[in-house]
Parts: sequence; C-alpha cells; structure tokens
Amino acid sequence: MNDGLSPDDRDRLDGLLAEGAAFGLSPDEAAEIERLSAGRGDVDIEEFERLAAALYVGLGAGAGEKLPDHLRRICADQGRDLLASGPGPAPAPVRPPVVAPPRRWAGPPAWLGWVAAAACLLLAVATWSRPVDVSPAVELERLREEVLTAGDALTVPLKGVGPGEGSSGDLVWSNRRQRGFMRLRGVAANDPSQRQYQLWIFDRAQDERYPIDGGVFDINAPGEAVVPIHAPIRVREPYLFAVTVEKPGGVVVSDRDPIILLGDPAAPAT
Amino acid sequence: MGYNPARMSNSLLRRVSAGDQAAVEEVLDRYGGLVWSLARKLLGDDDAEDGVQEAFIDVWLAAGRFDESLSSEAGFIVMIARRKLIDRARKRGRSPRTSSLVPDLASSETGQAERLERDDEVAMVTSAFRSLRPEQQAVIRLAVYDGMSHSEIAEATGRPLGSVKTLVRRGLMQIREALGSASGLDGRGGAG
Repeated sequence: MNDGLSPDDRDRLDGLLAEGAAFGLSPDEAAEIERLSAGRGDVDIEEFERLAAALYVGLGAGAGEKLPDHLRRICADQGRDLLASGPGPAPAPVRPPVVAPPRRWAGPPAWLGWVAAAACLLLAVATWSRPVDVSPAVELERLREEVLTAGDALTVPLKGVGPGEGSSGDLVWSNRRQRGFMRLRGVAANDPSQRQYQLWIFDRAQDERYPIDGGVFDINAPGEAVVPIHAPIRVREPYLFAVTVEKPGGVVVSDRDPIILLGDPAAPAT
Repeated sequence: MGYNPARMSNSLLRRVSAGDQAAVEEVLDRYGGLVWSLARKLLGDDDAEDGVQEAFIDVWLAAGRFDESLSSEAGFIVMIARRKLIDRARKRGRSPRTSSLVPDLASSETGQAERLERDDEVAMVTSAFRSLRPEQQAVIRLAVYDGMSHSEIAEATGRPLGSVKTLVRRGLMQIREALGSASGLDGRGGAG
C-alpha cells in the first residue's frame, strides 16, 4: 500500500498505534500520530485497537461474568435517555486513548470573584462530554416522571443568573437511579457551532474544584425544553447545580464563561 | 430461519443507532459481562462501576460507526470500552488489576473462550497470537488481557521498559501481518 509515508514514518506511525492500542497514548504521542496521519485517509488508526480488542475477546475475557443488576439498570437508563434525546451527535474522531493531563482548576481570581457573586460557587472543570440534543419529546417527559416517582428524587428549582436572568426551570435527580432531567424555560436558543450549554454537578463526595460534568446540550427553540442529565461518574451527594455557556463540545478547563442557571437544593423556595 | 449468533449480534448496534431502546437491553445482556470484566481489570473494583457507565455511553454514541466488515460486535464494543477505560485508568495514574501478575497462558483460553461468541476475526487473531514467541505472548497478554501498563509489566517480568514496548509493538505487528496473509491483504510490513 502506498500511503505517501516514508518507510521510517510508516514504522513510527505503526509503532505508536500499536503501543497506543496496548497502553494508551500520551498527548505528545497523540499529536505525533495526528501529524503523521494528517490528510492520509487511508491510514487506519483503529487497526491495532481492533486487533487488541479481538484478542481480549479471544483470550476468553468476560466469560461467565455479568453486570451487577443495579449497574445494568443504570447503564440501560442512560442508554435509553441518550436514544430518547434524539439523533446523536456526529461520531467523535477515532483515535487510540489519549492520556490527558490531570484536570486542574484554572479559575483565576476574577473567576473566583464572579463565582462568589453566584452563590459562592467554585466552578471548575470536569471531563469531556458529548452534546445532548434537547428534545421536548413526550418520551423525555415520561422518563422524567419516572425519576420523579423514584422515591429518592431530589427536586431543585433552577434560577437564571447573569446572562440567563429571566430564565428558569427545575431539575430532578435520583441518586439511586443515577439519572435526572432539567426542565428549562426561557433559555436562549444557541447556535451549536458557536456555543453550547454545559451542566455541572457539585458533589460533596468530590473535591469542589472538580464538579461532575452533567452533559453538554443545546436549546433549539424558545419555550420549554427537557434535558436529560448524563453524569459520566457516580453522583453521590449533589449539593449544587450550575449551567454554563461554553465553546462547542464543552470544555475541559472552564474559565470565565458565564453561569446562566443555578440550582441550590438548600435554597428556600421562592 | 435458524439461529445465527453472528447475524443476531451484528444487528444489535445498528438497532441501537436507529434508536431501538430494546437493543440497549440486549447489548447489556450480551456484552455487559465483557465490559465489566474489562473495567475491573483496568480500573479495579472501586472504580469499575463508574468506568462501565462511561464506557457504555461511548458505546451508544459510537454504535452508528459499527462496521461488521471490520470487526465483530464484541470486538467493536471492547475496542470502544478499552479506549475509554484506559484513558480513565491513566488519568487516575493507576492501573489496578484483579488477575495474577504471572501470566497463565493456558488457563483462560481453555474452556472459557468456547463459551463466548467466536467469530472468524477473533479466531484468527487468537491463532496469530498463539504463533508468537512465548515472551511476546506473555507481555502482550499482560498488556491486553490483564490491563497492565508497560512499567508494571517491566517490573513484573524483570525486563527493561524498552524491551517490553518492543515486544508488544512487534508482536502486535506480527499478528497484523498474519491477519493480512490469512485474508490475502497486504500486511503493510513493519514487523520485527
């Protein structure tokens, strides 16, 4: 196969992809793969990952094991929520696992001051999230009702702040089911190519500098929207919810983008 | 119509990508144990549940990319899950495992494997793996099956880090070459 790479570059690329499939990649290694494979659509960068996965299956992994029932239920709920939220986003770029630098709090003093004005909140970063297309579908309403009747549902009013002044909503969350929904009213429609909304969940079980990413979402039209919450890790003791405006795709390090909605379970109802 | 596991499994991710919620349940029933075992190996028991949730979210999102001409459904799901779980394990700076550090090449391949879906791709890869030198099999198994990092393998086997990387890299390339030969495709060289 003539893929335009020199033999040395081909060997280097193969080596990086093979090691990446086995161990993951550092950011530098991932960047080198990007460089070597840029513009070469015939380079199959998943090839070694497929091979490693097939080998894992072939060596008999997972035989006789099954998901714990409660975990299976959570995964099923999350899958159904995702499907119910409409057509999925474009597939993410395909590449071996990249080891990102440790998450860090990047908020400078101005950010802290701004957050102080927003309920003494320290908003930081969380993991990458996938956009969730918001749909006011009946199915979402039904799933939201399920959470409401889960027995442990936490219901939190959402208050518009800053640029979100005038908007409102509420949020329901079930720790037991690890799922929840926001119902938003008056939140401005966004152009996903310019900005997206991102939910953050502050959990007493987590360092407050590292709130849990609750998902990136869009508002397609004025009115009411129901947004499923997709927490990538277990939420244990949520004590504050915040929606920010971020660049498309959400952020890894959140800086000074505004909060538009806050939900404090302890706040008195107004 | 007879029962055809391969055909049946190949349709699941397509159904997921088409919005079929029942297919979500079927994927979890069929492949949940596989991902669960992977998460426990890569993350340890404490973090495995969160890892499984992340992994399956990626599986649902990636379902539309499944191409049965490239991999089996089990292989595709494991590939997506491994990527997420390795990323998570390395971000956390740890790589716990539940299996022994000493590879037992014979034990897990006998009996257990027969109970899993075995398609051509998996069988060919496994066959090519078994043709490697024992030391290559050992380090690849520690990396791919047991989820160990290269430094952990170096420590466990007493081999220099560079030697571990080379054995893994060349071993995987040799498997790829063997697959290319078996399927009549160009293996693209590069094996050592």
